[in-house]
Amino acid sequence: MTHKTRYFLVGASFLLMVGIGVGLVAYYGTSRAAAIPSGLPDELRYVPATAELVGYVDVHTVMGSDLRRQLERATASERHGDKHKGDIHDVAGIDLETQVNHIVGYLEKIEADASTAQGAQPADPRREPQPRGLMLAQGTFEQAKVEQFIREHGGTLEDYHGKRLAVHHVSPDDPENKVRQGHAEEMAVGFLQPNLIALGHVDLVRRAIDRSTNPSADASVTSNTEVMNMARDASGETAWVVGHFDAVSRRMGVPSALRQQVPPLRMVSAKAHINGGVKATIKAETADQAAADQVRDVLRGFITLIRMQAGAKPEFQSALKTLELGGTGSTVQLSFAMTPEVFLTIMPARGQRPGGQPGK
Amino acid sequence: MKRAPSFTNAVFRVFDVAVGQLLWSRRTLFMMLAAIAPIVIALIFRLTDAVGVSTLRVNGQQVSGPVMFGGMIWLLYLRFIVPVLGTFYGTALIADEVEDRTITYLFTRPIPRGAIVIGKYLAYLVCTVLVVLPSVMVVYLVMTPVGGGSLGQTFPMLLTDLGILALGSAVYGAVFAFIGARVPRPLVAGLVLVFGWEQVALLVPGYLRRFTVAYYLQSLVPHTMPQDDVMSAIQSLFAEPPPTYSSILWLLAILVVALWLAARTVETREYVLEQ
Repeated sequence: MTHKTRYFLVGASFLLMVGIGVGLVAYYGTSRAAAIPSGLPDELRYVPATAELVGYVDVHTVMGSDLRRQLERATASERHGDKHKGDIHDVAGIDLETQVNHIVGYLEKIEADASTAQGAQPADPRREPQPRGLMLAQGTFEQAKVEQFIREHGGTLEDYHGKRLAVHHVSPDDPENKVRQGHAEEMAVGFLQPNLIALGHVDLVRRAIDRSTNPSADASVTSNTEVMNMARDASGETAWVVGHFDAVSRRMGVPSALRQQVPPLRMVSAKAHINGGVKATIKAETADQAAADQVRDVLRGFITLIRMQAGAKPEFQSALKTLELGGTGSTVQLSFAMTPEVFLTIMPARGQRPGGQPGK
Repeated sequence: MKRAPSFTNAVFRVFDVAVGQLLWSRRTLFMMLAAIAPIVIALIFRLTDAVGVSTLRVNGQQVSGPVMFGGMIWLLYLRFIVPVLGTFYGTALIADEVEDRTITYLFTRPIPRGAIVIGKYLAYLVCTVLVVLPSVMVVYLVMTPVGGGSLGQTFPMLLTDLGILALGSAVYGAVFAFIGARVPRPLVAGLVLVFGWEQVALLVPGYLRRFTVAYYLQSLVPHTMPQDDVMSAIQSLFAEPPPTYSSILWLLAILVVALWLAARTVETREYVLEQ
C-alpha cells in the first residue's frame, strides 16, 4: 500500500470518527435534557415545548377503579335505558372504556392580541381566541373501524408523511360544533403508531405526525424545565394536569378582573390518585415567597368560609377534615380526599341543574 | 522452497494491492464527484438559510434540515450513489483484469483464485465506505442544524443511515462482483439491473420486488420517503415493508451467496482473453 493510499484511508477514517464523535456528544447532551423521567408517559415527546396546559389520565385505572364502579352502581337506575350511553364512551369510533389505556392531552399557547393582552375582558367572549388542543390516546385500536366512522360522518382520509389521517370538517353552523361555535373547524384522527392515535385540530395532528417521523422537527415539552418539574412531581398518579396559571384560569372562566386580584401565580398543577375515592393535590408556584404567603392567607380564609358554610351538611365533613394547606417557599399546596358518597352529593342528579331545579 | 500463502494471507495481499488500484484509477474522479456533489448541495442549502433567503418550502412551511437530509439519503445516496458505485466498481473487480488481459498474472500466482475475488471485494468495500460515509457525515453536520434541527436527536438515525449505506454498498458490490465475473459486458448488465429491473420490480404489485436489493434496503431507512408523484406510487406499494430483522437477514444472505458465486465462478471459469 502506498503512502498516498494510506493517508487517504487514515484521513477518511479520521473524518468519519470525528463526525461520529460530534454526533455522540450532541446526542449525549440531548438525551440528558430530553429524557422522559420514569413514571411519565412517552407521549410527552409529541407535546410542543410551548404547550400551555398538559394533562394525563390513566383511563384503564380510572375505568377499573372502585370509585367508578360505585358511581356506576349509584347512577345505574338513572342511566337505565339511556340511549346516549354510547356517545359518552365512544369518540370517533373508539371505545374509551375498553380500548384506551391512557391519554395525554395539551392545549397550545394562545398568542394574545393587543385588546386582551392587558387583561381586558373582550366585549364578546365568543370572539376571545380559543385554545386548540390535542389528545394522544394510547391503547388498542382498529384503524379500519375508525376510518369507517369518519367516512360515515362525512370525513375524508388522507396520507400525511406516510401516516393515515382521517379529517372531519365541522362547519361553523354545525350544532355539534359546540366548542368553537362560529368557527369552521377541521378535526382529525391521526395514527402515529398502531397503538397510538392523535385526536384534535388537524394542524396539531399534523404537527404530532411531524414529531413522530422527525423527532428534531421542533422541541418537545420534555425540554420545558418548568412543566417537566411539576409533571415529574405528579408522576405515577392516576391523573394530573400541569399548566401556566393564565391558561388554567382562562379555561376555568375566571374573570380577568378577579385574575388581577390574585397574587401572581406562574405554574399550577393538580394530581389525583383514584381508586376507592380520590386523593387530590393542587400545587401552585408563585413568583416569590411573599406572593406564596399571600395566596396561603387567601386560601386559609376561603377554607374557613367553606367549613362554616358546610357545618350543617354532615356529608361534607369527612372531605373537609382532609383539607390540608401547605407548601414551602414559593410553593402553595392544597390537598384533600373525597369518597364516592361526597362525589354523589356534589354531582347534580341527571336532569337537574346545579341549582337544584329540575331541567325541562 | 517457499510455501504458498494461506487463504487469509492471500486475501490480505490482494486487498493491499487492489486498494491502491481502485483509489487511483480513472474511476476515482467519478467516485469523488459522487462524494462531493451532496456536500456542495448541503453547503448551498446552509448558506441560503444563513443569509435568510427562502429555502425549500412545502405548503408554505420551511423544510427543516433533518427532513432535507432524509431526502438526500433517499434520493442521492440510497437510490443513486450506492447502487452506481456498486455497479462501476463491483463489475470492474474481475472484468477489468480480463479486459486489460492482466488476469493471467494473478492466476499464475500461488494463491487460491477465490482469494483474488474476496481480496478485491474487500478493497472495493473499504474504498466505497470510506468515500461515501464521510460524505454523508459532512452533509449531516452541515445540513441538520438548519430550521431548528438537532444533531443530538437525529444522531441515532444517522448511525442507522451509515449502517444501511455500508450494508447496501456491501450487498451491491457482491452482486456486481458476481455479474462482473460471469457476464461478458458487466457494466451494461449492472446498469440495466439497477435502473431497469430494480425500478420496475418495485413498482409492480406482487412478489417481484422481493427479488431486488432495494426492497430490503429501503425498508430499513428511518426517514420518510420523499413525496413526489412517482415516489408516492412506490410508497403505496411499500405499505407493508418486511420486518427489519427479515430485511437484514435477506441482505446478508444475498451478500454471502453472491460473493460465494463470484468466487466459485472465478475458481472454475476458463477466461479466454481476446488477442
